[in-house]
Amino acid sequence: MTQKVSAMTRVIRIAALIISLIILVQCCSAPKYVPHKENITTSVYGAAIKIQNVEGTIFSGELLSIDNEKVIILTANKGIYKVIEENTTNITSFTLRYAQPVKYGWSIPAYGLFCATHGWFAPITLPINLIVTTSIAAGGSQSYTYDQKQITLNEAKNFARFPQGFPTNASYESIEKANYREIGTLVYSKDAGLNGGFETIIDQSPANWFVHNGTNNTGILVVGYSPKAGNHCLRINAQEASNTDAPIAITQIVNVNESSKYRIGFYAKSTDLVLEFRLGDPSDIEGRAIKTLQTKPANNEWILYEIEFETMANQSTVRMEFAGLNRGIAYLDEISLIEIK
Amino acid sequence: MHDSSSLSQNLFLKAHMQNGDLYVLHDSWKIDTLKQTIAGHGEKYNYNRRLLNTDEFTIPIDSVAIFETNKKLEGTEESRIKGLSVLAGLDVVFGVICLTVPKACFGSCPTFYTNPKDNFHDANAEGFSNAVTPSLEYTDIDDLKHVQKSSSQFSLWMKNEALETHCVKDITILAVPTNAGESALQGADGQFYISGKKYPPAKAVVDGVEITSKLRDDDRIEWRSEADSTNLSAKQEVIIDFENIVNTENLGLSITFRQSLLVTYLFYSVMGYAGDQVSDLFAAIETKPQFMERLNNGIKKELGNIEVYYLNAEGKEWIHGGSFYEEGPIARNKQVLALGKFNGNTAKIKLVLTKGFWRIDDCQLVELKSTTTPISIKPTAVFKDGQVSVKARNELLNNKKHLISMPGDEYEMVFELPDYEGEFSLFLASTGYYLEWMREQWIKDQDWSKIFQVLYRPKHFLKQQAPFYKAHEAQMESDFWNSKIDTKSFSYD
Repeated sequence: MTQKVSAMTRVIRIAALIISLIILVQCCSAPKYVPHKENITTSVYGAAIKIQNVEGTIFSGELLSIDNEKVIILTANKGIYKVIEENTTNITSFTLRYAQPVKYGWSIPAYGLFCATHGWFAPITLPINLIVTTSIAAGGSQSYTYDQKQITLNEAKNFARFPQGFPTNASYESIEKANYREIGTLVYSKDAGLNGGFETIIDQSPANWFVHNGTNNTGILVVGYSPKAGNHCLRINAQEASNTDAPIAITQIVNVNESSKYRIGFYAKSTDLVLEFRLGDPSDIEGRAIKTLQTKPANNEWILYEIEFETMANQSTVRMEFAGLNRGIAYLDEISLIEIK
Repeated sequence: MHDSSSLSQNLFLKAHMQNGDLYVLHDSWKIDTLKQTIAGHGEKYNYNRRLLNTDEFTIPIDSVAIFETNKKLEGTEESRIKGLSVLAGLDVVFGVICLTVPKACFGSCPTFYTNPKDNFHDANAEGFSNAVTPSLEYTDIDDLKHVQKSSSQFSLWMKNEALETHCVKDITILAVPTNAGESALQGADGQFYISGKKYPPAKAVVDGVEITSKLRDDDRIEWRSEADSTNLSAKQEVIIDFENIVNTENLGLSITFRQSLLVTYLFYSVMGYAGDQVSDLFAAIETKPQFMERLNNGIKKELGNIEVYYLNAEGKEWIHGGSFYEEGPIARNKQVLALGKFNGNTAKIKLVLTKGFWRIDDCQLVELKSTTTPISIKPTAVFKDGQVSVKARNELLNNKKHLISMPGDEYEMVFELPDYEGEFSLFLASTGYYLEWMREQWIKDQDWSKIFQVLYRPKHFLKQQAPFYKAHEAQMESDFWNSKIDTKSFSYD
């Protein structure tokens, strides 16, 4: 009985150790504005930076700019965004991350369990496996980072959103307000045009649509089943709709004629997810919607929605956005934009 | 150390604009060497990183603060982007020889000639020498020292004789009508004056040495002292006596002057000390007004103007009358400083200036009759390499465009002078800026501690540089002029 308890205790301790190690290496995930390594080249935000000043205070957030006098960072705390400045002379250390870490945390339990097959050798191989897998996982979590031992602050400014210096016309308030509502990716095709039927697909993404996947990388997908027309439609799978500061959405900026009337039409179907169509003026720095239209989930049948609008004098583009408002799945197809004569 | 294999697969060019906007161009882009634009497809974002448009974009190169790319630039692209933008230019290697004293390489801004066959020592003007980045663009007025009959055509040749990109927004001739016995002078105060009788110096002395013959006439025989061997901002005084003044009511001091090559040496030294981060230096000048202010209040202030003093009526006190300043070591500038009424028929003037920083051709007291307003004349025709260039003329007449002049370019501009019974004294108003090309030979000098000295300890910097400059001072003249680009034969392709 005592031996059984002792064995159980050892198992619990090892399990606790493995879980702790997993938590330790997995907690190093980067903020959502930090791109995956495949998207480094097209990322429009700065790297995530963590600085410590002479008083020991730590600030972290997106690196906006660095000049000879100060570092400017957009910090986030419980959904509240704040731009802060810190004098460069006050900074004692910094770490910056310019791509999402490579995660090998899965290897710790996987190889830990694999040791069970080693029989009597398990007590020897398990610690070795744990050391190796933990160091690999920890190394992965440190990939795509720099610190003050590797580069100077002057070199770090190349990883800022504004390597040319903080623009004089920009306001902290506006940047705080905008934060990261538009993190996403876009693949461009010269020939695809509006691509309202989602028939032009590049790297599994709908060409010419800016895809905001929120934190779910597979939330928006072009699929080939039951389209309204053609061979494809778009599936919007909003499983993290509560994340209101990064809603799942697609956006496109479309060229229009000034002082003209237009009708936008689209088909949507869903049993649960409400999609909101938002029409906006791209030149509006805050990205506000001029007109909105919400879909009505029903019995998963295609429903046509239409909305009309008139462009202003000197207006050459409009912004079309479809965003998920709640948890659920919806399908979108045959988006059209027609000038009404 | 970091995995960058994926970076080279997806080619991109990011253009960071001064207002924080960002263009991301993908896969391929084209550079228009005539229009100085980059065109390609991609996205445009505002500073909040909201998507503004997805389209084919054409971006003027001079509106970009910083380029960012993972593509190795080649051939024409390399010379254009690296040479034209303030970002780079590190490995631009040209066949121009200025190896012996790299910091004596010819640098000129546009040079202007009334006779295209004139030797470059005789350039009539050099334009906007102080505008080394787009934001520093300004209108520079120079006396062409040329008198033209009315109702006639006048041609002016503009050359790019250095490794620079000249962005010329406007060329205007300012014509001042004058009668017999009169001259028109450009005032150091920005006004134009009609002058009468002139009084050459009776005696001019510096440090006990008489230099009267050198300052007497506008004859291209210049006086220049050598720089101080321990401090490049050390000052000296020139005392000038004028005699037999007939009308003392309204007098001015007219001098013909230009800077020495010390200014060129210091400018290129700063670029060299910036090394492969010279783009940061220019980006700071371009985006941070306080940075340029620090430069102006630092090293420029230390080197100073030609300060003019005159002895008061009692002959006991020096009164500060004003100063002269015009950037550039090539063309001689002629300006007048209005000093007002003098008592008696003699005058004593004192010039205080940095040793070895200025070259003075003549220095005369002149009778100022009145101020006047010149007539502005735009070019009626522009020729490039002997062929009419409607495009070049349109660019000069459109205040939203620049005429881009590359090394070796030469333009002839024709102006029609109006009817007038007398003659016209001609002045040039040139507006624009230029981009200096980084030279490979300078890179090895990179030392940002020197840049900080320039900004924060200019006096110390000028003392430290003195021995280096003195080692080359005697040789600089010949090296400078020999490294000039021949506009007839230069090619950078």
